[in-house]
Amino acid sequence: MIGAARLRAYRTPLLLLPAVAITAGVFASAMLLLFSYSAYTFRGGQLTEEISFLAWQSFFTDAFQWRLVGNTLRLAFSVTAIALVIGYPTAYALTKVRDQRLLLAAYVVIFSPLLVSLVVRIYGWLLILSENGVVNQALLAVGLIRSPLRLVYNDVGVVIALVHILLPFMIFPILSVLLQFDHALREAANDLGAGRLQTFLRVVFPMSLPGVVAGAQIVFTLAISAFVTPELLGGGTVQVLSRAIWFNVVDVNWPLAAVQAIVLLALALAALAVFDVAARSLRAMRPTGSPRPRPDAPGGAIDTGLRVVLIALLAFILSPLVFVFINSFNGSDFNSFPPQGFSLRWYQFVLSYAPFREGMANSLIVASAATLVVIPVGLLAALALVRERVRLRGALNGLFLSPLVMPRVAVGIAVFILLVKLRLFGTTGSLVLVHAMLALPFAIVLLTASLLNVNRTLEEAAMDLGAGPLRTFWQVTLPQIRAGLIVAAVFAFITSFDETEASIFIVRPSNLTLPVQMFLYLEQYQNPTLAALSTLLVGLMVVLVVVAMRFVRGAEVARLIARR
Amino acid sequence: MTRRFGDVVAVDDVSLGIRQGEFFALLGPSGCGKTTTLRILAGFERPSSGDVFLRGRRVNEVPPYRRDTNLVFQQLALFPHMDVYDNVAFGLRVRRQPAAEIGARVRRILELVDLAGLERRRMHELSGGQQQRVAIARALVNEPAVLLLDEPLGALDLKLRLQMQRELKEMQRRLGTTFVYVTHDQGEALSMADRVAVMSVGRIVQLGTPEHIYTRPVTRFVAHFIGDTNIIPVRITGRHADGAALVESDGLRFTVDAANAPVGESRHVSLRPEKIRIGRAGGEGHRGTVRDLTFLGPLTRYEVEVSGRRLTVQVQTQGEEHFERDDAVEVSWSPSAPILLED
Repeated sequence: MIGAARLRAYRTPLLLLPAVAITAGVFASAMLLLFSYSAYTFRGGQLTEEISFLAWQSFFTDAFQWRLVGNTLRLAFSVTAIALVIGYPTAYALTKVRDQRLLLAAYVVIFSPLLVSLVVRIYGWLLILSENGVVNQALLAVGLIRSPLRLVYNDVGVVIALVHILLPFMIFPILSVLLQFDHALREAANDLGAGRLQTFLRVVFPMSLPGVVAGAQIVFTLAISAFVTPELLGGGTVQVLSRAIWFNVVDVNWPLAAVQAIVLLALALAALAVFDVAARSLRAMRPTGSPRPRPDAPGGAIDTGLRVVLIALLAFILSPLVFVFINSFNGSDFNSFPPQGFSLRWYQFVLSYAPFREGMANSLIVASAATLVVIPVGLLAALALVRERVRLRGALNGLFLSPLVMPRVAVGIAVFILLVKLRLFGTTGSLVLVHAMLALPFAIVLLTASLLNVNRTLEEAAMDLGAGPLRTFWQVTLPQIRAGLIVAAVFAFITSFDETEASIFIVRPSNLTLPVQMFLYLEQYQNPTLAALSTLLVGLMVVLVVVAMRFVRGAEVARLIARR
Repeated sequence: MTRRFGDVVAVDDVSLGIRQGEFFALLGPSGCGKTTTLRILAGFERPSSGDVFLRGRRVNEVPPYRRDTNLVFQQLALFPHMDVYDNVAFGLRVRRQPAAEIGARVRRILELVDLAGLERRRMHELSGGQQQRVAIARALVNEPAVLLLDEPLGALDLKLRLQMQRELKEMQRRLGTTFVYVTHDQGEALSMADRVAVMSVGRIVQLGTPEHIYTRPVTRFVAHFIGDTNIIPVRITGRHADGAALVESDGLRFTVDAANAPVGESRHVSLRPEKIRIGRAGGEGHRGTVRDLTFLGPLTRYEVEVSGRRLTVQVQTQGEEHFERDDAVEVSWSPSAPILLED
């Protein structure tokens, strides 16, 4: 039997063990395996464990592979640049809005895409951009064009959809920097003779650069590894690394897929490093004194312009969802626009279609199980990180966050090889573990933050009044981090429920999750079925968030009162 | 001029003329409208009614970036993404001065504020006093017609504040620039300013030299706000042949220099503690009892009860003449010491 004193000595490692086991056990070992597979040999349609570096050789000598790298980088650059050009004025406009209702609506709309499945959003863009889609039909009807423009199955559609998907990640960091902007600095610039434009160019914009760098960093890393979007909207013409990896996995050319995944990983890490250097050189911009943020009074043509930008952007963000919703009642067998007649038959079909029902059941099971794994594991790790003396804290943090940085496709193929090796491929348990691993970084970050906010004096008061450590944790600590727990659980659930890009590598026909089913369906059929399903899913997410918000608000109020 | 924010009148019918080259202080407690007045002068607020003239020109509609004034902000508002040089050069660059001239002027002003050699420092690498100097240099380098200062020394500790006060006064004397200085610290205003305007609830209650404001306060507020004083409610009971008024307060009778106060009116009198003499009982003065005393080193303060009223008395500490609690004493003052207040 282990004595209590002994247990206390091992407390920190024990708290960290589950999180380390999931991250290192699944993620790190899969990555190591990926490297070793890149050295195996694929010859004549056969995979052997002969060490040859043939795959590396063929990658670096093949002009096509270099073109893949070029395409991947170009796509990521254009998406990042466009997201910045759209995102910056939007974030700036948001800081100028005085109308509280418009502001609330804008926040909800801008961050709503995060709650909507990737496949649903891509489907929405197909409805808008395809030959018989909204844009082309409208332009034809007005007579601006004679024949439909080609907006999907090429770079255009992929870039538009990726910008749409990644825009919140650009807006949020810029917005948070701009919101902290010290209004006194604007007045100081005015006082020294700088008008509106000069003040913006010389003071506001340079000071918001850390937000720009942070936003560009996230968008670029996510764009570089996007798979589902170029696959579904590129129609085979958008040749990027992520798709090549997928095809090589299907062709059993795992060594080449591994090499490509490693190259993708290297590109992502290089991009992170470059952006980090940029961010570090900007870090010296700490304001002196306490900042006094205050939006200045709206007025003039510039503010009207910003308002127009904001409303146009809200329309852009909402449009796929709106057309998905409209199309779900389409009477036609095709995704035609305008819809022909009103019908509920797509809803009937969705509810009776076995693959979707099974996918839904699988997704709910996997997402619930992953959430139930992630929350306790993440909480234990966060407790250790916040409250214990942890050696190698930096390294551990790096380990826990590393799944966020890795391209999902690379994670997918690495885990796929690992599972095949372990003969666990296709089991639901393995899927739960992988999703838990992908959701764990969010949980650790959120729970660490809320544990840092806990008032330790209250715990000391409880113990002083005779409560033991467990009772104190249960009755004093837990209520204070309730909001953090709920938000982390919602995040974990959504991460798992929407996960497509890694899951697609590690599911079998017997345990396909809903987004994978939708992905496969969208590759084959073009009818309003997915519109009906998507509408139902959006409804489900709204319910989930509304219910969660109710708890969070109550919890936060309780916390505030407890603080008093 | 007047400035309203909704129903709140921040600046209420303020009218003042600031002379070229003077050090002018706006003094008052927080919320008295002094900062709003300064912001109107800088151009950040517009008067709801009234006019602002700068060198004879009406500047109501001139925005801050075209106005020949510069402001030293309370929170300094230094640009954190620029170094000392770039901060100071900001105004000159925005006005597109030639590079050579910018260099020369920035160097000259940095020498003046004793920051030469720190050009490439970032703001967070400077001490509080150095940041203060950067803020002053950044405003002064533009050679404004008026330099506006919004409690610029508030964040500094006492010793540094006293040093900066001396330096600011010296700088103002040397450059001859008009300074308008907002503060809630009466010591700061009295020691630096040529003239002081005391503000309360949006109005200027008194304007004059520091000596004038200290020795001849016109209202209870001014008397209280500047220095320590005894406020005594009195009734004017009669008049001497030389014009001085005879006043009474709960059996305490004395005379006050006040020619125009009508007999029979109830008013207040300000009597500074250091104007009251204290001595052993038995003379011509008012009889009283020491209720409390505080030893302040060179000075001693007594709380003396006279005719049921407590008076604060402050005298030079002297070894031989010293009173204890409950001692019977006598207090007196010259007829010019009590000041009859307007309200």
